[in-house]
Amino acid sequence: MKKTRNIFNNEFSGTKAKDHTEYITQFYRSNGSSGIKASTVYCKEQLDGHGLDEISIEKFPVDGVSGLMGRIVYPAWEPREVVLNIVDPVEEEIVNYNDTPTCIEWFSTPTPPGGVTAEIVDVRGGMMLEDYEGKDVKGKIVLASGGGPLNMGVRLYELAVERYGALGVVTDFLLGEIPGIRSRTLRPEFVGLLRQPRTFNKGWSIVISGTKGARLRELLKMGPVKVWANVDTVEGAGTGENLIAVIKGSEKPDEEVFIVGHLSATKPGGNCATGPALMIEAARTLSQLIVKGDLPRPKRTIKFLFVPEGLGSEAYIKEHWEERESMIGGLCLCGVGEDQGICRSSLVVSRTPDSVPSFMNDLCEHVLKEAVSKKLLTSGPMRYGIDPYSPFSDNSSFNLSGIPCVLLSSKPNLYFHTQFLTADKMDPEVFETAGSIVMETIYNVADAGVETAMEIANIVMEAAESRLGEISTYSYEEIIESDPENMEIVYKKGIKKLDYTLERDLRSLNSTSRLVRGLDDEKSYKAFLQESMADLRAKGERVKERVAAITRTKKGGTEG
Amino acid sequence: MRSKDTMTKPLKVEKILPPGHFYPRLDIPYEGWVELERKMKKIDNSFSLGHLRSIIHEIYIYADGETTLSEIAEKIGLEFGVALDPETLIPVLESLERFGSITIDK
Repeated sequence: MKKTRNIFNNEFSGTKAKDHTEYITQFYRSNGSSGIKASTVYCKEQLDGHGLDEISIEKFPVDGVSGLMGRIVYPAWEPREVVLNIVDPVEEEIVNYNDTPTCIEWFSTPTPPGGVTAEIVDVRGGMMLEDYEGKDVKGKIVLASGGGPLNMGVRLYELAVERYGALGVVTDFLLGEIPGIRSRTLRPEFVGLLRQPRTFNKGWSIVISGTKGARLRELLKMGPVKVWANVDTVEGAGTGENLIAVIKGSEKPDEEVFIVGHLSATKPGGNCATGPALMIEAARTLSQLIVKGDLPRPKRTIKFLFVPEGLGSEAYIKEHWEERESMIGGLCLCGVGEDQGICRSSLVVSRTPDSVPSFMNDLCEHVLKEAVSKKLLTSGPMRYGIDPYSPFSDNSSFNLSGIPCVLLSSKPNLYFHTQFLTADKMDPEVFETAGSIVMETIYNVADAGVETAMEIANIVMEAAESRLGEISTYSYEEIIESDPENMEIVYKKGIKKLDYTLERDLRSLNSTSRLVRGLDDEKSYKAFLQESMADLRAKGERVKERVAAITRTKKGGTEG
Repeated sequence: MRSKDTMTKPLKVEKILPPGHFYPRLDIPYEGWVELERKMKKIDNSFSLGHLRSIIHEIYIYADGETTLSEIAEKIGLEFGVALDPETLIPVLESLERFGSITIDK
């Protein structure tokens, strides 16, 4: 692979990426909103003038009616004002949108002009039918602590508003607990966004802090409490926009490698904004280096996809369905600039699902480890991790369509989707490391010929052998610790895991053949690949034989 | 249509992706999901409904009309390190079929 890290590092600016994050986070960026449109305009302006070959916008409806890859698209929706105050027995502000934009659940409908005043009723969790027994919430406002294993915003709305006739919901639920770090008790001031995967027919839902939730419950112990809620939101037919920037390939321009990040989010939504912010800087860096002649134009096309999360990716895939075979793979970015000390986060590679095996996983992991090993943050060593498939951003839309897409994100995140996830919690050094990982991975795949394909195959081989070793070590431990009557079961479990991993990794290895399709040396590469696969299979058999030998020895010892 | 069992071989419908947020888009009521989690936890206490989005996606991608639900469940279990009873996934499969993401062999 080309030694590109230093070239990239000299051009890429983490400070610029952080500045882009700061700009984008000033907007509330729900689908079809004025804020997401302004963010898209900003990204386009930042991309202009840096030598990219194409910059275009593909539009699609967000009207609540049109179909898209099996779903009805959301309508355009955005908040304008939200205020919740206690008016009786005391007058106190609980929350307002200007200070806390994360307080309004997506797709809430407006109150009548001037707002509504109503009694608030505590329904405890509010997630189960029994929470409402003996309580009349019709025409009132429900106070719920939420919880439970599923999307609690939807459930609360369904029970309180649709089933029992409440005007709206007030909840101090905090989504995304992290044991010992983030919980309602530990972080009483957090107001975390709730997003509905459906639209409201009526009513609204306001999220408040734990402190304010406790205050309301304290007052309710003394008698009835009335609140005034003013919710001003707009919903209707709108337009979604995918901003696409292109660096054209020199030899195989029809084949593409992509980076995708989403512009949609709440405000501030700093984690979400880091994806497009890094992409602007990566696009500028790559394009400028090519224009200046410091970097050869890659053989394949690189695309930068700035999308509304999920919806935009699916619109892109639908629009380019016939070109799927040409999409070699991509990286999805969601949270790539977080200050690890402040946010308590690690930079994490989430693999493609095993059903979509790809060399992209081990390549990205390899580049990540290399980059991290050469980078010490001011705050200390950089934390990183490798996850199985985590379908929580645009990576899911691509993988579901059979297009390998690795997710790079920061997990966990203390401030995830709260009002405090602002640009000042981002670290230019993390942006620089993530930028280097993204550019090195994408550029090398885009520029791969036979030699690079062989290097990547070697990376997959090494990683696969390491995985087999780890599984066999774990199996030895299990076998040695097992009771004699369970030993055979434990042994078979270990072998099954080895077989499964080996088969998946063989398919990942085989996926490198995609990089040489149509090249002069394709035939010789395929011979190399067959040899490598046979080698890996033989190593797998040897590992299995060692596990069997341990089992036999242990059996003998036990029997003896 | 053949009654669905763990030997059912689902087939994905291209361009009808399973929903990202499976509740409430898949038509299993809230109580049904809670019950599903309870059943799954009986087999493997580490299971949570947070896993389910990954599992649903894998069911869809693996659904090639040749692989049985039982085989799919085994692969998913090995991928995510959870023990899965394929029987408990049948309601999910049926709901995916009603959603239009898969068809079931006849």
